[in-house]
Amino acid sequence: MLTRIDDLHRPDHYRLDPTDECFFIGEYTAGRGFAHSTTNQLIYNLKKTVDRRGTPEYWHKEEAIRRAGRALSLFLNPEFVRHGTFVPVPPSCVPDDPLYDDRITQVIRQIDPNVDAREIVRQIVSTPGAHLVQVGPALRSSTTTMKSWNRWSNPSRQ
Amino acid sequence: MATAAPLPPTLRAISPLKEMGAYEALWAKSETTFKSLAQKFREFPDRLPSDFVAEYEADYFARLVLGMLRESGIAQFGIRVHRAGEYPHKFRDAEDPVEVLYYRGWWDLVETPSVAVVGTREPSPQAIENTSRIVKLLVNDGYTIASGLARGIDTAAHKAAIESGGKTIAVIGTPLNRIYPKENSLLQENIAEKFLVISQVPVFRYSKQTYTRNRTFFPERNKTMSALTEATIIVEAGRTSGTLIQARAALLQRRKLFILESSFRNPALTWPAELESMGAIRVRTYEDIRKNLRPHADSNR
Repeated sequence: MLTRIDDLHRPDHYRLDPTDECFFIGEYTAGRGFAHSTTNQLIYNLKKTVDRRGTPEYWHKEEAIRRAGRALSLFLNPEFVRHGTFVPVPPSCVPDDPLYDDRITQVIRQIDPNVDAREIVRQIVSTPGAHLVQVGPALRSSTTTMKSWNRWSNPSRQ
Repeated sequence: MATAAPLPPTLRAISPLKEMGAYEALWAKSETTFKSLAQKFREFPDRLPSDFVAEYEADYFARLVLGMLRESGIAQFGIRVHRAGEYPHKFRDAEDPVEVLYYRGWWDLVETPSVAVVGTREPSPQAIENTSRIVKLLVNDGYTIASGLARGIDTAAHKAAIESGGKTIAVIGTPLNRIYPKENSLLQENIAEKFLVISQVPVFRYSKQTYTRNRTFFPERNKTMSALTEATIIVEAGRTSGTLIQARAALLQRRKLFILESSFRNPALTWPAELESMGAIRVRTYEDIRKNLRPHADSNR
């Protein structure tokens, strides 16, 4: 089952307020490495860079995408999956960067291939991945929300 | 014009704080025991503690217990709920598995290969020495050492693990905001900060009971400790030691149980032979332990 971010967790997420509804599958422990926990392994595999595509280790990334998608499809409301809109968290690189990685979009597609996923939050400048820096990147200055949703909307839902 | 209510995005999600409040509310009823709770969840395996408690009641106890923990100086702690992420399936091997666990420290240690080292609160000097030696060898083989933070062997096991640069988990028989024995206050704090302290004991109920009634929580945590670990080692124990509860739990849960040879040599004790006939392993040298544990990635073997 998904876990809801409640008053117990919220102090760890200072940008959230009690009206935000946030859920998660597992907890990643920063700075403790791949082998630290099952969730750490999942996140490390998800974050394998796309320049390793074609190498044997890339299978682990694809498997992590499938696993994350499966976990979400078990816990999400099927009605929401049919009618809701999913906005993936953007990767750290801009879309024309060779390292651009749409892994979260791929995770969403695993929930249901016909899901309405819209990449309306995008990086405007490539930054180091959050897992590679001590302090997370300044989100507001490096991301933009696309003004026109229609550009990314699923034609079948028009 | 009326607008449709937004679709809930999840089928069901667990709020750890709400479940903690519900767990405390269930325990606030004097007839509740670990056995009765486990039975309730066996009958209704898809339910959460909050399914058995009114929402206002769960909320009331969540706020109350949060306040009690904060008043005791516990600013940070975590809750693990059965069926939410990070609740390892191995805890379900306990005879009366717990639905809610409280913890302080690094929860991820529950995923490391671990061995419980337990025994009497009044050990002989030889038993203390044996504890220290075995723990150091286990640490060298990459095992996390679990114990119950009690006086005697438990304390020696935790200390030896820390001194030899290993990891340790304390599965305590009190709530997170209590320390027993008092002299282990610094040790408990140190383990909470650098390693992991786990408790299944309800904070409110414990605060309302006498010491005698609260003592019944100690053997219950032994069953959880056995479920957490892949083996239990009894260094030394008397005839009626709570350690024997863990020994029986380990066998019941199909975990390895090791008993040191010295206990077999004590003519006053019948339990070593009895447990050996049930599957316990007699330990003459450390090799008897090592060869019966599963090798793992961190091992120096």
